[in-house]
This record gives sequence, C-alpha cells and structure tokens, in this order.
Amino acid sequence: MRILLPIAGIGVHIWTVIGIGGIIGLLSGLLGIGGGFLMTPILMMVGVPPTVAAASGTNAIVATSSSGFAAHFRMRNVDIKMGVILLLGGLAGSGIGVHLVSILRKLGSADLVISLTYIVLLGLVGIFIVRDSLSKMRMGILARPKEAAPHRRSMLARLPWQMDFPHSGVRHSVLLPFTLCLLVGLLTAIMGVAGSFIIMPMMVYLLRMPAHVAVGTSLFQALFTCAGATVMQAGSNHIVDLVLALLVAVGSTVGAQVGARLSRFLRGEQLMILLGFLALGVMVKMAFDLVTPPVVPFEQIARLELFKPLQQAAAAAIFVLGR
Amino acid sequence: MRATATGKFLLVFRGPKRWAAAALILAAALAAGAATPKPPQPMPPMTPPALAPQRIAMGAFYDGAHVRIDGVAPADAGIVVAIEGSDQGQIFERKGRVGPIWLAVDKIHVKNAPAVFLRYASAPIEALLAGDEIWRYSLDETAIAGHCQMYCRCKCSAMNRTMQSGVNDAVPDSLYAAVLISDFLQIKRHEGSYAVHPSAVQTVSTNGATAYSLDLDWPRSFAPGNYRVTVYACRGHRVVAQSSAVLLVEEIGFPAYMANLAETRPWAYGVVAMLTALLAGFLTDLLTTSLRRRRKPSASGRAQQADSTGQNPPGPLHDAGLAH
Repeated sequence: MRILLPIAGIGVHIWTVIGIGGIIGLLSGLLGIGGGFLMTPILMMVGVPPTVAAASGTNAIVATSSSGFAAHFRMRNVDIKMGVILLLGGLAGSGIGVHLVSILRKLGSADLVISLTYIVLLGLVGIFIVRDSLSKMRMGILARPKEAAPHRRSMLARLPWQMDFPHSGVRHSVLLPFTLCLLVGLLTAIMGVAGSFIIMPMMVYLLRMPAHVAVGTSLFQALFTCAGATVMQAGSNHIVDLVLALLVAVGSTVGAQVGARLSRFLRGEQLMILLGFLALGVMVKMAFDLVTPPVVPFEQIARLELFKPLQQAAAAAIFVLGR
Repeated sequence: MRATATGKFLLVFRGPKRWAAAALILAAALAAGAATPKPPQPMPPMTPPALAPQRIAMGAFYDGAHVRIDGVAPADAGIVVAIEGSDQGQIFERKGRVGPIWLAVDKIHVKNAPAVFLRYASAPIEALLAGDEIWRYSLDETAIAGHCQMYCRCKCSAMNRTMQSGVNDAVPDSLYAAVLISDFLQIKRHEGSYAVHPSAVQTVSTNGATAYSLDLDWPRSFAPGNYRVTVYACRGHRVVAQSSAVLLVEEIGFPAYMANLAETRPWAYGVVAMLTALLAGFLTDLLTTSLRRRRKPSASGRAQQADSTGQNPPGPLHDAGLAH
C-alpha cells in the first residue's frame, strides 16, 4: 500500500519505510547511535528529496531515541548527570562548529576538509574499537575498563570541579566530559551528523563508563539534540515531513526496543565490536563514494541548511537550561 | 500629415485629371503594399485538448494517475503534445574531480527552465517539424537549454577559475555554461522529468480532420502544481495549429492540510512534529512494557512449575534479568 508524503510530495510504500525504520531502530537500541548517517541515504533511495529526508530523519530519531531512552532508563542504563553535561558541551561545540563551517565554506575547501576528516576519524575510531574489543574477547576479559596510567590519572584528578558520577561509577572533573563533548560537537557540526560514533567510544574509553550506560546516556543526548533540531528545521526551512517521520518511527521505535533487549544478551566488548565494524563500513562507503565518478554530476542540495537550525537549537537549549 | 499633403497635391489638378491622379496614387499605394512582407497569418483555431481527468487529486493514498489527452486537429496533421511544469528555479550542487576525489565544486542556480518537460508525438519530432520550428516552439532540449539561465557560486572549479569563491549568482563563461547545461539536462533525463516519447500519440483521419489521443501514466513523483499541456498540429514541417489546456495536480484532504500547516504555521508544526514523535516513542515503550508484563505471570507460572518438577532450568532471559 502506498501513502502520499505531504511535504515530500511523493508516494511511498508504507512497509518499505517502516522496514527502513525497523533496521535503524535496531541499531539505535543496540548500539546507542542515532542512525542519522544511515537514515538520509536510505530514504533518498526510495525517492524522498534529500533535504526532506535529512530533516524528517531527525524527527524520526526523536521517536527512536525516546523509545530507546525509556527502555534503557528503566534498565538503569542512563547517567542523567553525565548526559546533561555532555549535552551542554555538545551544544556549545555545535554552536562554535557552525561558525567554523561558514569560515571553511568561504575558503572554498569545506567539502574536502569535512569529507577527509570524517573518513580519517571514522577509520581511526573503527580500527581502535575493533582491535581493543578483539583483544579483550581473546583474553576473556569482560567489559571492564582498563585503569588509566597513574600519571594520567593524577593529571585528570588535579583538574578543578571534580564530581562523582555514581551511576557510571566514575569520578571526573566536570571540565573533562564538557570539553570532550565540546570537541565532539565541533566535529559533528562540521560533519552534519549527530556524532554517536564518536561520543560512544569517548564515553567508554576516555570517560571509562560501562558500555551499557554509555548506550543509554548517548540516547539521552541524541533525544534532546534531535528534538531541538526538528523544531528549528520545521520553523526555518519547512522541510519536516511528519507522516514520513512517523512511518519511520513506527518501525524504529519497535526496532529500538528489540535492540535494547538484544543489547542485554551481548557483552560490552561485543557491542563495541559491532559499533567498530559499522564505523569501518561507513568509512569504506564514504571513501568509495569519494573516488567513484557520480552517475550524474549534478545533485540536489541536502546538507546546506542543516547547520543553522543546529546553531539555533544550541542557543535555545543553553538559554532554557541556563534558567 | 501625409494625407494632408496628398490632398493639397490633388487640388493642383482639376476635373478628370484629378481623378486620374487619384487613381495613380491609389495604384502606387497598392503596389507598395504588395511589396512589403505579409504579416504572419493567424493560425486556424483548434479546439483545446480534452484532459481526463482535468485535475489530479493527491489524496493520502495517491499512487500516480492515468491521464488521457484527446482532441481534433486539422486534416493530415502530425501531432506533438508537450507537457511543461512551472519554473520555480532549481538549485543543484555540481560535482567535479579534485585530484582522485569527486567533490561538490559549485552551486548552480538554474532559472527559466521548466521543472518538467515531457513530449509525446505521433512520429519523431524531427520528422514532423523543421529545425527552426522546433526552436521557435521550444520543443527540444536544445531550445530549453538556449532559453534557460544559469548562475553559479564558484568554489574551486578549474573551468571558471577567474571567479572568486563565495560569489553569488555569477554568470558562467560560455564554455563553463555549456558544461553546466549538459549536466543539468543529464540529471533531468536521469530523474525522468525531461523525456520524449515519439509515436506515443495515436491519430485517426476522419471527415477532413485528424483525431488524436494520448494515454499516459502520470508519474507519482511529480510535484503538485499547474502543468501546461500544449498540442501542436504539424504539416509540411511547420506548426499549422496549436492549442493548450492546464492540468492541475493538487494535494487534497490530510496531505493538503499538513502541507498548509507546515507552510503557514511552521513553528507550531515543528513543535507538534517533535511532540508527536516523542509521544510515539514513549507509547511504544509503554506498549512493549505492558505486553511483557502481561506475559510475565504465565512465564513465571511455567517457571515455577518447571522448578518444582526439576525440569527446564531458567533460560537466558532469566539470566539477563528480563523475565520479570
């Protein structure tokens, strides 16, 4: 059965879109990623215009993240305290990143810098995760993080505003997660995706959070980021297709529930190895696209208007949270 | 002024000479008139094409439509039907090769080119019309390319390196414009918006006229709007008559309401979209939780029964703490 998408202006098969949502939701619930990097290209394949696909995908991620977040919250997998700090850092980083992008665009080399940075970063993160997880699995060590080197530990302990995060079982200076997420926000604003690929490993390897708590906390952050971006995209660009978003959401919320349950059957390093392979897969696809001649050298613009709403969302969220 | 001068000239003569002079002037005027080129003859009227349906309604379950176009043209005429979508300006990114990498190298703004340009004919258009007629009535892509305007925001294209980056709406040089037009036509053909279907129009000669008909499947990907359907009757490689009608494609019902809301009250629409998605997520979670709880008593009952008999030890669901 086909249904007309009112903003996209095209008809799509209902079950195709729900199926797409199901796959993305499964990955989201399982690995704590938003799924935006997969959503836009897959929706474009079924004929949705790129700008509408990107904006409606963000709206669908709100549903996916809220479903996954609720499931993880009940399983006590969400560190709200850490999540709020990460969210603030990410939003501040996004705001700075937007300005950086405009400078890069004026220099005329933004696309090259963005693509290459993304590929290199995804490759490094993917290889590191896969190598680390494989060695842990071979040694039979459960998902217990290694202790940091003593000199690094003492250096981090000297940072001001030390705070306990009992849910994650770690103690850090507020500056550490805030600064790390500011850098991630900076990168994600430049790359135009939510950045769970980077946030997840960062929480596990740098902040030493348990993998399951990292998944839930990542979903918490994705929920707020995408909620803000949805309102801004609809208000500024009029390109959010609610019908498309809800169809994707029907599939993805169910998928997220299945993913969240499935994640309990996998050990931390098994989850991380899946994430690592996914990052490497996306990296290979992006590298392939870069060197392969396009079928048609013209294409509709997908990414141009995504940064302004992110910036506005950052400003609005900082204002609201500041009160 | 000229009439007054002629009158004064005639007053010089008297009687029959005056009449002879007047006749001479009249003959000269007629001869001069015959020497000047004739204005183009108005085309004979042709009844507008009948469209069935005249309006395509895009409801919630819209899946394209079947459209029939028919009418009557002058006798022994070949038929060309052109369908054009409105021009609203289109923006594209152009990919180019920088070393081994393909990147977006320019942003192109295309104006004066129809969003949709479909042509159906009773024979190949080149066989029905001369080249100048095809150009005059914009019936091929070369003519469309000749009329469209391109503006670019150069980034790093090697072909127009004279332009500075960040320029808005710069007119490309002729070499670069030719490349852009070729790329534009290629993407339009690729997405099916520009197409030609020779021999798609059926014609029958009856009572000194030509009855024509065209059946086509309206693509579901075409956007709502007004589409101009123009029928050209061709004879002797010339257009001898033409007529047109408008095919209206519009959203109705729920899609129309949503599109209108998104356009007129975008911020309210955005908040509703966000809250709906949020609610959908939490409701799904609630639903799956309640389903699991409903299954719990029977599952635990079975488990207790199994425990009491010493059979079927708890499975992985119990190990993971999810069976409660």
